[in-house]
Amino acid sequence: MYERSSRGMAAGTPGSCAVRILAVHTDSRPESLGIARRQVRDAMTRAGLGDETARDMEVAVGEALSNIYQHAYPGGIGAVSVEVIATATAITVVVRDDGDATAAPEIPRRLPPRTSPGGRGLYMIGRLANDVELRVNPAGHGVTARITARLKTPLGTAWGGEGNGPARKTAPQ
Amino acid sequence: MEPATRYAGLLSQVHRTRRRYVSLCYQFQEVRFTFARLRNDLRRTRLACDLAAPYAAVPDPPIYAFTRTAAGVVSIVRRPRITGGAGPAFLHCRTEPVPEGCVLCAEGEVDVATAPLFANAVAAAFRESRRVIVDLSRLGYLDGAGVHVLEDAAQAHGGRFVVVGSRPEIHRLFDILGLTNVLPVVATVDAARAYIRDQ
Repeated sequence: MYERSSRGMAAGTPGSCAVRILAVHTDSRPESLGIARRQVRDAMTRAGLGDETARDMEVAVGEALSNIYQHAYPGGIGAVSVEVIATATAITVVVRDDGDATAAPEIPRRLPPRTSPGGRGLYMIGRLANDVELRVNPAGHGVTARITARLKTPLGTAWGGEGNGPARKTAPQ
Repeated sequence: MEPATRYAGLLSQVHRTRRRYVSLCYQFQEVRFTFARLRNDLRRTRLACDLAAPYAAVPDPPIYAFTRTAAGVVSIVRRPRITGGAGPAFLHCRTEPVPEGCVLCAEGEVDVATAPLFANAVAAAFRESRRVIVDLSRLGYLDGAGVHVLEDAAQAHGGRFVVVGSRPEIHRLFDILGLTNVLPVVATVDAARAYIRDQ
């Protein structure tokens, strides 16, 4: 889990250097999901996401988490992991469950009717985030959602410059 | 002992230690989360029973987050208390009578965990008076679960129900869900009172 794969990437373009700024492993109880959501919000704000974008992302992440609560583990509580990954140009929140789903749901293009279960949450995520990707985990069950917000102004020297330090060295050439 | 062998041995020891350290960090985080959850339960119970607040004087315990930098270093970050990740997941609703009906002022966050509380509060407000103004301007977070409660109320008590939301994200949420025609949203409580009087 902690191999040093990202060190080599740091020498590339600024956008290719991904830094995981938060990893939360929790369960799918509503209270735990709320705590995870607030942690994500704080991490995104710390990483330099604007107030408005951060709020939109928070709602998107909250919807993804409540989808997990409602659908991923029918009649039970299961594991949920949330990660926040920052690059110089975008912030991605990766929400993962290990539920029974063997196919990733589709993001509806138009507003689903009020009675459709779960569909509205996905629609909201699609509207609130810049980019959403839903995939089945490599294990064959459970869904991983990658929710991305693009930064309007690329990051400067957050996290003490560790994230894009090498990129800055190569810039003056 | 050969230096290379010794080095390899030391390195594996370092890796072992680090793995142990990281798993301990996560266990520690779990304990923190459990503690915060219990605290929130206590707080909610206290609010529900309407007890005095001796607990409010105790500051929130700091919550620790784990970060991993590009160099692979895991570090613990003590998060600032003011934004505390496991801050109170509470929702406090109070009703105030006004000549037109009553104002339900919600403070805190409405998410999956607190939406039932919110629904109860709205139902209680409608039992109390015929017309209800729901003031969301002091709400820190509102998501689909909360919007669902509002929609239900609007459907059941259309015309006698108005939402006060001065924050742009609430407007945005309602816009996305196509509720601007279903659910009247006004900017201030005074405007809401005027609106509800005209209905």
